[in-house]
Amino acid sequence: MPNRQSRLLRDWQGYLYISPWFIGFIVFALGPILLSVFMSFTRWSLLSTPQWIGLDNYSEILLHDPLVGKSLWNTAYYVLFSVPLGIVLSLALALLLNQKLRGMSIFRTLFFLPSVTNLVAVSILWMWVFNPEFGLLNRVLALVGVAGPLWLQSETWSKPALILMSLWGVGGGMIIMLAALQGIPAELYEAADLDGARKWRKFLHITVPMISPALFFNLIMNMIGSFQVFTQAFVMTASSGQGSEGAPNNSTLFFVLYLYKKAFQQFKMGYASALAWILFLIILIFTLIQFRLSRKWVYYEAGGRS
Amino acid sequence: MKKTMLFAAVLVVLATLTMLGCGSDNDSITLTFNVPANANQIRLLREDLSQFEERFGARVKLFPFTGQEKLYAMMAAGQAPDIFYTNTVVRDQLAAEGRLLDLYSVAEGDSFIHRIRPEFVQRGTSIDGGWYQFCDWTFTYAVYYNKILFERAGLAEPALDWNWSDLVRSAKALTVDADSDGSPEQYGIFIAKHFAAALEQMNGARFQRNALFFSLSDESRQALQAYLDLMNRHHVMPDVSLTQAQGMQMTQLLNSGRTAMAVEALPNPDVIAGLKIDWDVAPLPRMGDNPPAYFRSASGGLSISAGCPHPDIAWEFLKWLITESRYNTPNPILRDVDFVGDWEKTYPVLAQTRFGEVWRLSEQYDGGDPRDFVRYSSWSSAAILEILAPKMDLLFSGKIDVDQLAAAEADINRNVERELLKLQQSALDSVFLQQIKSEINARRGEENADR
Repeated sequence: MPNRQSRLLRDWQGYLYISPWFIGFIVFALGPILLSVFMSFTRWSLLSTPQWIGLDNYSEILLHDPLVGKSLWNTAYYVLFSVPLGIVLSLALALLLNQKLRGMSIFRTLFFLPSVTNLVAVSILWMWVFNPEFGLLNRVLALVGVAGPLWLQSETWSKPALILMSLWGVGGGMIIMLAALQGIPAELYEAADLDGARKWRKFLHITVPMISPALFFNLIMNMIGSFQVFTQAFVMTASSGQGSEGAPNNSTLFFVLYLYKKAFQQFKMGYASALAWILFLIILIFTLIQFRLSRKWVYYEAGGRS
Repeated sequence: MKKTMLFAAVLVVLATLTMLGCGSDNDSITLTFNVPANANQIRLLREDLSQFEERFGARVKLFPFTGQEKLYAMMAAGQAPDIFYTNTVVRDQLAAEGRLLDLYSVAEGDSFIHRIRPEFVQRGTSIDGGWYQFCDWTFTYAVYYNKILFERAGLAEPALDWNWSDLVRSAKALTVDADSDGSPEQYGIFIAKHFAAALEQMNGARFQRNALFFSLSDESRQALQAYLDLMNRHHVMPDVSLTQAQGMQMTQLLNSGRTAMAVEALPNPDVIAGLKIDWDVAPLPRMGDNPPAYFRSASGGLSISAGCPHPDIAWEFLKWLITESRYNTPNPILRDVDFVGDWEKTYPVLAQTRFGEVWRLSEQYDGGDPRDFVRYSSWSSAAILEILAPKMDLLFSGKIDVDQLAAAEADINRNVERELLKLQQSALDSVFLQQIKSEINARRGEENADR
């Protein structure tokens, strides 16, 4: 039996090869993650020595801070609408682009492009689209006799505006759906045709089950991404310069934006770490629920339902 | 095996080179300067730096960035620049944590101090009496107006001692709603939200700088109401929230004839370059019977790191910056500089306006800087603004009135007190902690007396 030392000698090259990634993971991912657990139990301004305060950050977040509730509500609203809308739209686009027509690859590229465009640039573009007086959206609404709202300046319409904007980036999900659609064996549709199935039946009983793993993947990824919505709110919602992000009246103060403000504007690193862990737990719970529910509707060819 | 040996040898050589590269050039003095300036100022500074470097045998490395996040990260990593920009909100906190050099320690005995207008030394001084911030610039606010529109309306241009009633009267005469649809094509005036604090000051509100608690005096309430009345009662100002949200610049509003008057900073090179109309300036109008108290900015400045190894050279650099370099010169914080004359030489259009008179009024009746980041202390600013800012959004969009804003005072101050109590266990300098404690006690005393 080779002893431990000889095994190490035999394997050292392997360890050497994985070391760049492994060291990077320890230093830049695992280390900060573990550190943030510790920090969440401290008061730390980045410059001072962290001061151990036990569960004070968590109790303040859960019991006393009114903006936590507000930011959670804003985030939940965003997730609730942007995730289903994003999935429906990306599926609809994928179905449209899954046709055998000339020039289809150009359309696929065009629809995919926004999802690889820099989000800050996209946000600035959309600020103009939502401009109440000169914006494209209200101009179009005016053409059909509708007086457009104030969008980002309205407490009521600011979140719907950001949800609408999020649909601009459905190209990523669309590509995954498209790949899944193209993986469905043609024989299944041929068999259904022989049985006299109509389009809607084929969609419901063949297409949806066959692409359900892709739908599930998009659902999970969109949900996690939506819980972490930040950039567009940070860029588009400052009413009067730095520090006022989340306006009007905190209607776009999403959880991660609030976390950012606590960490990098107020330098409450311990508090922000606690916020981050609470968000992690929320996302974890919803992800586990989704995995549990997926057993009932996600179909894997290799092993039936998950 | 040979390959492995070769690989190991290359690694050793690379590691050695890296270690050698980490050495510092100890034989020369290097100052690091976080310069919060625009590209043009930085270009001028780079061109001029060699003068300073030759005279003092020091090298100056520029770190051009704005914002506190990067500065804090550099400090936390032990790499703070020797000289950096601090706003008033972070200044006291950094001073209390011993991170800023008391400028008196290098400037005491230097006759240069007497060249600085004393109010700017005072504005950079913290509650422990230390001078931590070199306020290196100031500006005032003025009402810019379109002379042609005044002439067309048959109005006399604003007098230097005009008052709020004069402004409202002029604004009404300058507001044009030709098709009477209730949405004027030309408004009399535009005053952005962030200038409202200057109106409070003009109405006699006096602010304790770096106050720990929030309060809204009667003078402030009246001024805010007068400001809101411009939109809601007199209909002489466009919806401020909407106009600002649209990103409309004051120069666009004036150039397009959308408004006849607008408040902006003076002097302001961007405005001077951007205005394409026949324009002039007037001071902010007096409100009520109050003596004028014109806005003079003092919201930040340059600080020297407590860890700077060459504080004397850093001090010389600050002096050189505002006297000899083309960065922020001619500088209005110096007594012996002909600021107005020099600016008029640089921007000849100013000589045809009342810039000089408005500027001198601001010097004579200096009301200071009442903006949020000067008004509230390092320790309570965030606690105040996270409740106050959304309320201000609601106020300016007409969802709440001034009384409802004032009613938030108790709520805001409870939030502040909760934050301040956390400081009791912190490692702040005792002078600061003592000062904070005494303010909390004074406030509690006042509350008890009120009951």
